[in-house]
Amino acid sequence: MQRILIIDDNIYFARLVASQLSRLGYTVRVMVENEELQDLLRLEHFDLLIMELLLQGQDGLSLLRQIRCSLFSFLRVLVVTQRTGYVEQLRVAEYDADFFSKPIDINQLIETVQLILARDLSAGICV
Amino acid sequence: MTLFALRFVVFGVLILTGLIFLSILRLRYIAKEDTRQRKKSFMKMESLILSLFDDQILAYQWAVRISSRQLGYLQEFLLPYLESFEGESFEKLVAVAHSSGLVKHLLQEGRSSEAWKQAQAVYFLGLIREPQVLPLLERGLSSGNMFWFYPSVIALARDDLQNLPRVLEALRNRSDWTEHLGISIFAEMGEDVCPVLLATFSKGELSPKIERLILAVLAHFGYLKAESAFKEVILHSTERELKIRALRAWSQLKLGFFEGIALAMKDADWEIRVAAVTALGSSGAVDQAHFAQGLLRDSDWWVRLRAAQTMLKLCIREELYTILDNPREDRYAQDMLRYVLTKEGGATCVIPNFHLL
Repeated sequence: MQRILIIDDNIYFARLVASQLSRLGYTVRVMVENEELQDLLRLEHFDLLIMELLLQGQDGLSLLRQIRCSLFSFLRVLVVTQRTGYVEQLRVAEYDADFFSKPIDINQLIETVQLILARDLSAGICV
Repeated sequence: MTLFALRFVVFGVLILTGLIFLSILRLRYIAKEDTRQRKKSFMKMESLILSLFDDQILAYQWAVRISSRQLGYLQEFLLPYLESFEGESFEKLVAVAHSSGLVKHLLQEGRSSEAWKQAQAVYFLGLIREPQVLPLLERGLSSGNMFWFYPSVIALARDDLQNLPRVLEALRNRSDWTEHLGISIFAEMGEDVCPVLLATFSKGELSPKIERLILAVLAHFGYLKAESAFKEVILHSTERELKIRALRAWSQLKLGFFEGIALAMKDADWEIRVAAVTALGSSGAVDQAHFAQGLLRDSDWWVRLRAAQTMLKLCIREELYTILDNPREDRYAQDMLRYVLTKEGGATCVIPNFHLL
């Protein structure tokens, strides 16, 4: 069973997406505070991280950079954000993450998640 | 008599203090009760939205469970979802807003004299593209009240992109914050606005303020089809601000080098030279690095800084060390290059030793 972690300040949105993904058999965990992310990643295994760039306290892009510079650089990341500018998209791509801008169609999001999770982990990951 | 009056005043003060204390307690109770109700409603609505998305209930089945007193909470609850979703999910939520009577309630609030309530209602109705709100939006375009104007322009442009020229016209007529306001409006709307904005820009007949706004939005979304428009402005515009904006957009989009950048680097205005040399840096044109080297000797500090940063991007380190080593080179140019190398992490103190060896 594949495991997904969602980080989004909007707890209601995150929980809704989580419930939709859980229906498909994924184990989903939701986080609002990103401060304990590294600890959680150390304790538990996740196959995909879905995150927003607009987070309280920390910029999502710097969080993404931290992940890529850590032991968990292999983690597949899907950015689902309201920040839709070209620069953000470029930087997300530079950090080897997929990008999805809000507003989203939940069915499209689920399809994207399935595609990402089906992707061979060894391909396209720079360690 | 005086004693009696004094007693009376003290008594009065005590009663007044008691009343104030009771009012504070009442207000606190109301606030607490409101928070409790809000929390309870939100919990209930969250379970309902999950059931709605799981197709266990239909929109009207949710709507009938919302009392008229809870409509305010429903509005607050639905808003972030409506901003985050589109397609089928969005339609489901709009159906809830309609069947619960929220839309009707908001149409009344849209005519409210309280600016904040009106703004929230107009924004919500605009977001769900409610046709009945259009007359309100039309009036909002010419309103001096920011709380009404802002959601109105967003809603109008979202409703139909054909409304964009009118929105731009409304923005043009405002003296305050046009650029910031416009950028935030269009950035919120998504990149669908780009083709219409580009078409409007190409037609001309816009004020420089609006032209700058359009260039900023096109750059924000990385709209590559706007390349020729940027090029045109860089080459031929006489508007200083506009030229700077186009050069910044050029570097933001990491577009290639062309003669317009070389010309801009010779401009009399230092800000244009700064923008041009930055554009050269992001273009990655290593064969054009000599332009940046020329600007290393510029009289302006900012131009020298950006020129040095550009050289750092385009040149191999040995070339930079050669400049530092050249006794005939301008001292200020060498200082700036050394400064940038230090910032980058290539400690300058190593360089003399390296050459001594």
